[in-house]
Amino acid sequence: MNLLHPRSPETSVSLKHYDISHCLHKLFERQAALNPDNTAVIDKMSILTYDELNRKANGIAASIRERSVLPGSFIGICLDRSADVICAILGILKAGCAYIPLNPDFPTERLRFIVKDARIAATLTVKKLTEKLFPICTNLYILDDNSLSLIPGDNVEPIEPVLSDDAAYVIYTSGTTGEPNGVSCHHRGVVNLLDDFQCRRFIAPGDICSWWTNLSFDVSVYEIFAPLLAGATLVIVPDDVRLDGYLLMDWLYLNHVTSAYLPPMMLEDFHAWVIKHPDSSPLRRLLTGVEPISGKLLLDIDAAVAELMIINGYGPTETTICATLYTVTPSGMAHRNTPIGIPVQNMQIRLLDDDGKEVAPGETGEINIRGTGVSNGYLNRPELNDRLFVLDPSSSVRRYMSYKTGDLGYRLDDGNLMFVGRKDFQIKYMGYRIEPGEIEAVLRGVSQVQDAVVMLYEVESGDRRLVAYVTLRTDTEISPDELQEVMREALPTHMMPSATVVLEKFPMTANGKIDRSAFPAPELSNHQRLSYVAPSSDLEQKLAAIWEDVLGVRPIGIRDDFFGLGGHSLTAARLCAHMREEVDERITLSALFQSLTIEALALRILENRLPSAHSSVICIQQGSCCLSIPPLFIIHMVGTGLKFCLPLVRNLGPERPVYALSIHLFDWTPGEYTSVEDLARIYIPEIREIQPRGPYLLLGISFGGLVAYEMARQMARQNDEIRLLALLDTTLRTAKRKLGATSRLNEHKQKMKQAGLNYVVKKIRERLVLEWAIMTENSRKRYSAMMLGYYKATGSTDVMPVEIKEFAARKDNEEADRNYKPAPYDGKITLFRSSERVIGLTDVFDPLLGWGSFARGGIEVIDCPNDHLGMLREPHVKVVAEKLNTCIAKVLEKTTEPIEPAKQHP
Amino acid sequence: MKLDKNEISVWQVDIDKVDTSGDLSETLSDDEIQRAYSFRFAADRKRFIARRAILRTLLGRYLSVDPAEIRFSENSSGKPQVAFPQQPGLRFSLSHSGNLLAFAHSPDPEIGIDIEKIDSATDLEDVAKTYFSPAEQTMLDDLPEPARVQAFFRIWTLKEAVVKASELNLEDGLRSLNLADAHNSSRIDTILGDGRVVSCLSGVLDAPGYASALAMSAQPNAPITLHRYLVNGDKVIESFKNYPPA
Repeated sequence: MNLLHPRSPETSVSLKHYDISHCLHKLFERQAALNPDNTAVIDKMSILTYDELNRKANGIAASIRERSVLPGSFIGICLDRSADVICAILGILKAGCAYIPLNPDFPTERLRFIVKDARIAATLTVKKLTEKLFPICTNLYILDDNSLSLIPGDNVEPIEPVLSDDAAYVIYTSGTTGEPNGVSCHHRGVVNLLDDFQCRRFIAPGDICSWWTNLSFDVSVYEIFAPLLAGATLVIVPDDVRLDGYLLMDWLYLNHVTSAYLPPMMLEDFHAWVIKHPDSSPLRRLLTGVEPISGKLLLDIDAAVAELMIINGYGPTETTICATLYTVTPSGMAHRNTPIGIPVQNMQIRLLDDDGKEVAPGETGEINIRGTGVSNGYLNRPELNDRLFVLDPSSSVRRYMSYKTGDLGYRLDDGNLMFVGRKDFQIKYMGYRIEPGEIEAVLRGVSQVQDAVVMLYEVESGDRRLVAYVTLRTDTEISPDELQEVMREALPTHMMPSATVVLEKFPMTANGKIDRSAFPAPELSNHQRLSYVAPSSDLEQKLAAIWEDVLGVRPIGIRDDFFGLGGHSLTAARLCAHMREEVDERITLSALFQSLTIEALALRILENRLPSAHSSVICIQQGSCCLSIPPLFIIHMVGTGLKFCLPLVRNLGPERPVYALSIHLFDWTPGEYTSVEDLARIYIPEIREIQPRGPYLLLGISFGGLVAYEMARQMARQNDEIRLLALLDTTLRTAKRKLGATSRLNEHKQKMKQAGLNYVVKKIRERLVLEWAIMTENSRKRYSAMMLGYYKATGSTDVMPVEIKEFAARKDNEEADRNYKPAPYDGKITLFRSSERVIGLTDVFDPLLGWGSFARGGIEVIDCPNDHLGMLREPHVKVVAEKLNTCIAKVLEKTTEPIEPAKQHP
Repeated sequence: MKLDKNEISVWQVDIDKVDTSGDLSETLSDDEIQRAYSFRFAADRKRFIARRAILRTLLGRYLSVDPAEIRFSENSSGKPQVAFPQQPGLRFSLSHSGNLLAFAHSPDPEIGIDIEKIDSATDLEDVAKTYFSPAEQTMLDDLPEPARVQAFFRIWTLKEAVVKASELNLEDGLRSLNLADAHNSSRIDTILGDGRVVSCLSGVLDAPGYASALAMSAQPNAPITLHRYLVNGDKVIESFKNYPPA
């Protein structure tokens, strides 16, 4: 899609400055005469030179005249953004008329309103749009209709000369009343602005300028005429690229665009692009504006693109595109938002107080704009014009001198202006400036609604809510809920009223004005009553404030669900970071994910159901909240490896709550706890916190079995009821012993007889595998031991990588294992034993894994498939889980035979 | 569509360009519809419905089943998985941020994908302080402002992708992984506490202004074929890449 055309400086002549007494089309015609072969406009379908464009426009102008449309008439343009639009605009201007954009995407009602309000004399369009226009407009010029002989021709002169004070275009703006107003802008204002731009960053033949905005937005006037008055090329951004920041930036680059307008929302994308493609952007002039823009972002872009001049523009449509411009300079800008700069040439800004006097330096006042850019006012709105525009007493023709914007601003020390916001009716709500008129207009758009008033209502002291009051047309009905739904579809969330109240009529003052002080308290809608419960306790209020801040949603009730508010994992982390800092340092992501509302979280905090900062318990599975079944506590296997128990938990089914204990979960220092007894002492209070009374279910995996056994032993002695002590392949060191030499030999001989040569090969292979594993394990251990030594020596065990942490934990556990001397336990042990094990050729194993002499309540052995680790993995873990479930069901059965039910049936 | 072992597909969808006319909730299950209605804002609800519909459509294609028939369950760390068809032989991971959706599918290895819109919220430092390793924090502190935000999001997405690919719980995963040295390379291997290796690719998506990462529980040099699909309105741009490059 590279549309680059050769730059031909030799044949091009440029006019650096424009005479503001000339009209736009005249200045264009001069370029067409000077540089007829320069490319004027490029769209997806066509490329036109200045000469071709001029002759096409002449054809349209002639055709308009033939139809006896009088100069000074308004002509609609209902076209998609294309080269046709440029021909149409120039044709209309050449015919002495002014153009009015009729955006094909506008609702029919709005188009009908504009056509009628402006008394549009004719409309230029294409065939495919006629269906929409037929019921609205009478005089259609269909550009792609062959019967209309649009013959490109020579320049036409209108019957009366066009003056630079005559209207060039009319653009409708949405007024705060909800009814659009047509602003009539003259040639002079546009030429004046473009000349100012030329003084800042010059555009000449060879420059390529993009047209991004919609024709019904006045920045399009700048985008179109900046190149056409300079002999440069206009390229039209295709619709499928326009709103995709990423595609757009590539497109601008591929088309070698040197001058562009980008709306503030696209600036981040542009910044990302230039960072990704350093020294590539050919852009030399960038206009942005309309919304507050982060000063830093513009500085970053400015720094990243060497030749670029960034200009931030401000100005209402009423004063022709921009009234002030700010050129971004690397020095001297330490503002949060970018200033709007200084007035455009031949214009002045005054900041006035309520009495119309200029405010003191640095103070905020209403922005009053004077000078060349002030437009011809609103079409057919004499009252509004009288209120907002001031006539120029020195002018012989009727010309406005100044315009009251209703915007607030102040002047910085360096003379640049800062934009503050809207003056009238503006509400500041939850950090946003809100124009109630916009919300009221949406409500008035509902057919049943007669009138609407939106205001802030102080529901309770300090609790101000945005409330909409409406009156309905007679004999109609609509519920507040339905109105809320309409607004939700039409308004950004920050503009959503908290409640809508339907009134018979609005309270009035004695002289017939709406009495804003006499509206009733809002009645919260059903929806609101159900979902919004205000925070009451200090804790809830504190939490709500943090949630509102982080989630950017206001208000948040205590029953609102974290995910329902649009939360995700990063917001969860941000939320937790703040809550830990400001409320309780024990709040974890797990606590948040288990208590998704402010109410539940506050309760959890109050009931102290948070892991202590040094907690070693982690909830793996919360279980079914409506069933009250005892949780299963799992004690980790060697190291920090809780992960090994996850497949088992998954296969146990979702109902049972499962907690895992591991000292290594949080702030733990290697070497701190190195005995089984220590670990048991730490874990017992932790599980009692979760389950204050028995029956307890304990499961120890491998090394964890030692700890589980010790816990059960200690707890039983304190009269706790241990219903299940399950050991998963936990082997006491005493279980393994070497066979004597003779019996070893006998054993081999016997097996040789049974299995023949295969037995020998298998044994050798086993041996090799084992030795290799030991070897690599040993070298890993040596490395890890060295690293652990380093971290310990430098006192930086808290920054150890996980693998060293793992090693350290394993080392501590092994030490504990070596030193543990179990004492007898009065209860029963359930031993889950793996059926395969890798053991040395000459080892012999106690089938009870060494536990025989310790469990006075007996041992139940349950055989499990595969080996020590395999039994914890799929697919074998399924079988193990099943057996464990059966076992748990069996031991809990005892409680299902309580004595109480018997009492009811004597 | 079919994926073999060690093949991973990554889909990038701009949700704002998806045609959302018509009833997208048709393929959704009752509990998904219910979840949709738990969103406070209509925009969140619409996006959720579109997200689930796209998830189901893609899974439906890989599994050759009607998208409406697919049922989901969650594993113990909350990662969604396909519960019906039973034994689907396909793992998936999804993530969304801003207007972008990311999906990853693979029969094997287990995968995790994460995307985050880079947004210089003022409290990222607090998040780093709470959840990043001291080495990561020091590394971030040493970076100048714009690079710091970028690095934060790279680390965050890597961590979240690893968490998803390894069934770690989010809290443990965020705290225990240390990617201070790794955040600048495009393929990173990290060893978990239990000795497992998770291999990650940073910036798998072509999305300026976003950070993204794909993690897979595969050995460091395991050959992986990555199919990337960029959905732009009706267009799908397809590309693929072998790791390590052939």
